[in-house]
Amino acid sequence: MEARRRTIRPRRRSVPGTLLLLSVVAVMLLAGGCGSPSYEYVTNKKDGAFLRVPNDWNHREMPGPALFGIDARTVSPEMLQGLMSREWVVGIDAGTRFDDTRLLVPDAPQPKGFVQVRHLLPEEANAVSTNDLRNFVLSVDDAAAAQEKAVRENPYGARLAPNFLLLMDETLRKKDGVHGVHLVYQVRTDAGLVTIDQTSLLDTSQTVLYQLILACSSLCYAQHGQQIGDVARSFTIEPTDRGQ
Amino acid sequence: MGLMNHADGMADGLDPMGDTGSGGGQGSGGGRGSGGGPAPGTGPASDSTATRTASPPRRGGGDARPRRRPQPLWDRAKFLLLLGAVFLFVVAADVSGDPLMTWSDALRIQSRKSAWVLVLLGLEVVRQLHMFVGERWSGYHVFWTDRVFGRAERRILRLNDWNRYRLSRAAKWIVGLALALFVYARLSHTSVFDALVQVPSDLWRAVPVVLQIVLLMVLVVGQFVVMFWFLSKGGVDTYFPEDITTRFADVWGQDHVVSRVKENVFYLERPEEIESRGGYVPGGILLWGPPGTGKTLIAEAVAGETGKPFVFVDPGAFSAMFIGVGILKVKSLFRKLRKLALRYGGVIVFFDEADTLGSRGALGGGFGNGLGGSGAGGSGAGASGAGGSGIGGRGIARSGFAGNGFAEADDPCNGMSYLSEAARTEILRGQAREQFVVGGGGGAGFDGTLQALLTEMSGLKKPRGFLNRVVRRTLGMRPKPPPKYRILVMMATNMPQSLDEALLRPGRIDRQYKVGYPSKQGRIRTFEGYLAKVRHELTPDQIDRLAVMSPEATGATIKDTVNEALVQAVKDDREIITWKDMLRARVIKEYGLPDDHEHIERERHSIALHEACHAVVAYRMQRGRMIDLATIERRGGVGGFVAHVAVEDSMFMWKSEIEIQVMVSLASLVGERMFFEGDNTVGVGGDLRSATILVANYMSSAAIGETLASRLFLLEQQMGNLSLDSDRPFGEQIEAKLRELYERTEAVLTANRREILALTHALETHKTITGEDVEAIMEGTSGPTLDGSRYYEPDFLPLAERFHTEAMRAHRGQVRQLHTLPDLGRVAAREPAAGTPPAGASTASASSTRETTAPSSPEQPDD
Repeated sequence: MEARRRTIRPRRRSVPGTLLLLSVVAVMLLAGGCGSPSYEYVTNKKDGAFLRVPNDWNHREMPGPALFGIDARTVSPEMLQGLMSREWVVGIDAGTRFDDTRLLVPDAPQPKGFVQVRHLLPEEANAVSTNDLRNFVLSVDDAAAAQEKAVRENPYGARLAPNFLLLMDETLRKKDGVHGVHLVYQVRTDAGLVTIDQTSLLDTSQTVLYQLILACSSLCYAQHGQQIGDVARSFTIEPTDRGQ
Repeated sequence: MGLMNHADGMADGLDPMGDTGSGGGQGSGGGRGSGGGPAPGTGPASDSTATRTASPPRRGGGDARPRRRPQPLWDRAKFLLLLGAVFLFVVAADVSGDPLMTWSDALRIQSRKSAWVLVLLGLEVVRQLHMFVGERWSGYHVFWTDRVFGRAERRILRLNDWNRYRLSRAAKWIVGLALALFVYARLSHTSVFDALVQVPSDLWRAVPVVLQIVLLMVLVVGQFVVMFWFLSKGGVDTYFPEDITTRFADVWGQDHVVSRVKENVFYLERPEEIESRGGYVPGGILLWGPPGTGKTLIAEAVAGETGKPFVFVDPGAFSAMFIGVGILKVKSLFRKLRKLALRYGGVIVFFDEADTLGSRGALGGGFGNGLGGSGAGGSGAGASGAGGSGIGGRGIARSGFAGNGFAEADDPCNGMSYLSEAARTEILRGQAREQFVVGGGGGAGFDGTLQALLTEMSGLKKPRGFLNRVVRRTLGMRPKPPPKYRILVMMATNMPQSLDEALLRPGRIDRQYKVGYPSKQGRIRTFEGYLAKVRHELTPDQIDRLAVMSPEATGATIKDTVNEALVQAVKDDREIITWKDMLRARVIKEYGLPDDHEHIERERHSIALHEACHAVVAYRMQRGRMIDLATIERRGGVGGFVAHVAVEDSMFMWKSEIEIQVMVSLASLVGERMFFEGDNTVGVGGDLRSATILVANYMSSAAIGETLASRLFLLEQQMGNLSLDSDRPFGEQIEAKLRELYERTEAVLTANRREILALTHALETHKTITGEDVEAIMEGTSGPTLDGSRYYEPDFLPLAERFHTEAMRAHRGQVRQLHTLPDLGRVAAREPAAGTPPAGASTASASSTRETTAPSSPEQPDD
C-alpha cells in the first residue's frame, strides 16, 4: 500500500497546475472569442479570391447569373447549369439590410456591388485583353471619348457638368501573374451621378476573370470613398489550379 | 470502514453519473460509519469539518468522509483537449489559405459559427470543476451523490423495469431525433426550428430519391433472393391419394411391418382416437433394412392408402452447391408441410435413403447400440441376400466388409458359404475386430441442414401468420397459439447406423421398424405374383421349394430371378418357364456367371474332391440348412464352392452346431489328406482360418472348450494376462479342439467314401450341381438333372477308385495326364413332383451309356 500511495501522489500534485493552465487557455479562448471581428471576409478558396469588407457591411452569395440580366428562360438548362458552374458571385451591400435586387442601382445611398469570379469560355479567353477589362461594366473608352468631344463642343458646360469623369485609371500587376485594371469613374445617369469602383483582373493564363464592382451615388462615394478604397485594395487573388 | 477510507485510495469509487446508485449507498453508509448514523440529510452539516480536514489528504485511517476518487490527469484533460483541439482546428482552417484573415478575427468568427464546441468545452470545464471540488469537499460530494443524483436514482428505481425501459427507449429516440435534426439544420444552413418545419416537405421531396435507392437495393438483394429461392426448390414432390395406385395389399411378405405402419396412418387420420385419451400421434417412422426389401414400396402404399397428401423428398434434395441452401430447403419443405397439414388435416413426408441426411460425427452411429451389433448382422445378411451379384460365399465377405482383403487372401476355396449365418457373422465380427472399422456416418450435416431438420421436426412452433404475429402484438394482444400440425415423417434407409442419434430420438422418429427379408409365405406370394405375369409350368410345391431355397430373397431379387428364368427360356426358344429355367436363373442371379476357365485335369479332380468333402460332411451333419449348389467352376478367385441356404431361421446356435460348422470347414483338409496320402493343398487355408476363428471365438465366449471363463471379455477388459493360460495355453486348447473335430470329420468322411467319390465324379462331369442333385447322389435317388442311383450300382466304386488312383499317380508325377473321366451317363431331368426313385429304364439307359463311354483303363500308362 505504501508503494501505491507513492505512485498516486505525483499525479495529484500536478492536477492544480494543469487545471490552472487549462483554465487560462479556456479564458483566453473565451476572451478572444468575445466581441465582433474587425471585418467580414468574403472568401472563395476554391478559386483563390479573397476580399475583406467592413464589419457592418452585408454580403451574400448570389445564385447564378441572374444578376447580370441574363434571363434564365432564354438559355437552355444545360447552358444555365454551365454558367452557374463557371461563376461565383457574392453581392455586397453596405446597407443595413441586404437587398439583392438593388445591388446596381445608380442612386444607392450606401455602397453596393459584387465580387465575381468567372471562368471564361474558350472563345472569351482567346479574345479577352487587358484593355477589354476596362469596358466590362461600361464602355469607359467610349464614354471618355464622348466626354472629350462634349468638352470640345462646350468646354465650359461639359466640364462643369460632365457626363463621364475618370477619377482613377491604373494598371495592376500582382503576384502569380495576375494582372488587370482598377478604375474609378463618375457617370451621369437619370438618377444622378454615380461613382463606380471597378477592379478587373485576369489570371496569368487569362482564363479566369476576377471582378470587384462597387458603386454608389457620388455623394455616397464622397462619404464612403475611404472604405470603398480599402475594400478594393483588399481584393486579393491567389490563383489555384482547381478552377475550371 | 476500510471501504470508506479515503487514504487507502480504494474507497470512493464513485462516478458522478453512472454510479450514483452505489454512490448513494456508500454515502449513507459512510454517514453511519463516521458519525453514528446521520441521515443523508445531515451530510452537509459535517461538510465543514470535512473540508478542513480533507484539503491536505490524510494518510491515516481515521477519515471516513466519502469523497470522490481523484481522477488521473488524462481523464481530467482528455475531453478538454479534444474539444480544444477541435476548436483550434476550425479556427486554423479559417486562417489557412486566406491571406486576409487574422487569427483574432478567425477566433471571433468561429466562436460564433462553432459555438457548440465552446459550449461543450464550457460544460466539460464545469464538470471537471464539479469533480475537482468533489474530490476535496466531502459535503459537496455527498450532496450531489446522495441528495441530487441519489434522489433521482431512487425515484427512477421506483418505476418498474418495464416502464424504465420504455422511458429510456423514448428518451433515446428523442435524443437521437434531436441530434439528427441538429445535424440536418447545420447541413441545410437553417435554424433547428426551421429545419423541423421543413422536414416533412424535404422528406416528401426526397421520396423519389429514396425510392430509387430502395429500388436499387431491392434489385441487388432481390437477385440473391430469387437465386436462393430457385435453389431452395426442387427435390420435393407432392402426391395426392388419387395419384398413387399402390396399396398395402401390394406389399408382400412384410405383414408385420405393414400392420405397424397402418397403425401410424390410422392415428394420423383419426388423431382424436389417441389424443382424446391424453396421448399424441406418433410423428416419425423409420423403415430400415437391407436393400430391396420393400421400404419404398411400403411408403408408396402408405401414400396410396391414406387420404392425406404424401410428400416425397429425394435423397439428394438437400445437397446444394452453396452452404445454407440446404437449410433453406428444409425450411421451405416444412413450411409446405405445415400448410398441407393445416389444409388436409395431416400430411406424410417420406425421406428416401435417409442416410444422405448424414450425421454430426461423434453423435452419429448411435443406431442399434443396444442390439449387440445388429448393424453388422444386418449388413452381413444384406450381402448374402444380394448374393446374386456376388460370387457365393466370397460375395458375402466382400459385400459385408468391402475391401478388407480377407476373403481374397485366405479363402480361395469355399468362402464361408457352407457356414450358417451366425457362424459367418461371428467370423466376420472377428475380422472386424482385427480391422479398424469406422462406424457411422455420412459426411453431410455440417452445413446446418441436419440441424435445421432436427429443429423443424421438434423445435419451437411460432404463431402462424403475419396478422397474428405482428398486428395482434402491435395492438397489445397475445398472438393465437400455433396450430397443431400433424406431420408424419417417414424415413427409409439401409444404413441406419449412419443416421444421427438425435434424429432417432422419440419425438422425432418415434418408431423404428426393421423391414427384413420377407417371410416364407411372403416369398411364396411374391414368387406367385411375379410368375403370374409370365407363362410357366411350376407347381405349387416347386414354388414352395423356391421360397425355401431363397431365404434372403427380396421382392426385387425374386422379380429379377423370374425375369432371368424367362430369359433362359427364351434363349431356348421356349415361351414357358420350366423348373430347370428357374434353377439356372437362381444360379446365375445368386452366384453370378462362372469364368470361362477350364481347370487342368489333376486340379479339377482335387478341387472336386475338396468340394465333395465339404458337401458330404455338410449333408450328413448339418441340420436346418440345405445345400443349394456345389460347383467347381471358377468365379473370380474362387476355384469352387458349396453354397448352403437356411431352411429355418433359428436365433441361436448350439455348441454341437458350431462343432459341425467347424467340421464342415475341416472336411476339405481331412478329405485331401485322406485321398492324397496325407498331402493337402494350400486351398484349405481359408477353411482352417474359418475353423480356427470359430473355435477360438466360441471357446473364449461360449464355453465350447474345456474352460468356462469368457476370454473374450477378459481381452475386451484388457485382462488377457489373467486368462487361463497358466493351466494350459489357449492356443493348445484350440488346437486340441480342432484335432478332436478333425478326427470326428475323418470318421464321417471314411464312412462316406462312396458318396465323396460320387460327388467328385458328378462335379467333375457337370461342374455345377444343384442341391437337389447333391441330395439325389447322397440318397441314390433321382434329381432334377442327375440320376443319383447310378452311383450306387456295384460297378461305380471300382471305377471311381481306379480313376482316383490314376489321379494319384498323376499327382505323384508318374503320369502326365489323366485318362478320360468315366462317364456314367446322364438322365433327363425328371419331374421332382413325381418323387419317384429313378426308373429302371433310365438306369438302364444310363448303364448303356456308361457301357459305351467308360473305357477308362487305369493301367494305361502315360509314360
